[in-house]
Amino acid sequence: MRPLACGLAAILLASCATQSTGKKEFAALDSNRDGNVTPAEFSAHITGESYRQLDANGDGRIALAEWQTKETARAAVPLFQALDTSRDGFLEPAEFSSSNKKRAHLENTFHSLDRNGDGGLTWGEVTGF
Amino acid sequence: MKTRPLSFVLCAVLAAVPAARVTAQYSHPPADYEHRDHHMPDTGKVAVGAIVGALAIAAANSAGNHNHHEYTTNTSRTVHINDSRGTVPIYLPGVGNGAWESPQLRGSKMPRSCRTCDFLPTRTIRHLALLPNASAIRRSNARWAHGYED
Repeated sequence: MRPLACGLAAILLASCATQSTGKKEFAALDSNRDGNVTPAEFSAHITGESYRQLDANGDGRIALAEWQTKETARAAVPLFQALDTSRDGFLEPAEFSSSNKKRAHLENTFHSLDRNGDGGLTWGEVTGF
Repeated sequence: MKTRPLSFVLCAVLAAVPAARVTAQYSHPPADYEHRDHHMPDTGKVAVGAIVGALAIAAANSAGNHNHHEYTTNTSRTVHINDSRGTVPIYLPGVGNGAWESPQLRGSKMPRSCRTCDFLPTRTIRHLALLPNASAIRRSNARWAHGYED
């Protein structure tokens, strides 16, 4: 009986491991845990993740030096200055999330994922069931 | 002797012009900057790429396809998803530091060695319907394989 139980446990674990691919990312998107990811949740998660990566010292704002450690493209500095509407040399969360281009990218990505076009993303939709 | 002050002024003006141009370029972005096709921050691309890549694998797994493997280098990450009809390689361009981005955001291109990308079975593409712009990726891959793009 013991080898059979071990085998079953192994199969269950393997099944869970397969199922968990993408599940963690979906759970992170679904901030209110209602099983439905809205465009606002999707955008907030991506923006928040990006902001956390850029705010290396965790002081709640992004300095140009912090920005340049992650953003190395040629247009990175002009982009920083365009987002810094207060001209104080730092990007606050509101300034960081105000990029029209970024918002358009996120909306396009969300709509690509939202296969039934109902404006929400469920795990069933992701997995095709 | 009379022309010396004039030449000094000319030299000063000529020296100041490039500096002024650089200062203007970096301290005052154009008013219509937001409407130009400037790129999304790399960190945003990485965050989107992580989500889209993981969900694409979840979709492939749920379609009864548990056979995928990933090939990662310093500059790219390729996820090969196999099913009974063929293999779909998803090429995710790297943006540095081993990070990679979503195919949607820059137009995914396959390595030139991937000569079969033009002949991917439609059904396999449908399995990957979750992946944004699957058909666009396929067309882009075909152009890349035939050397039309760099």
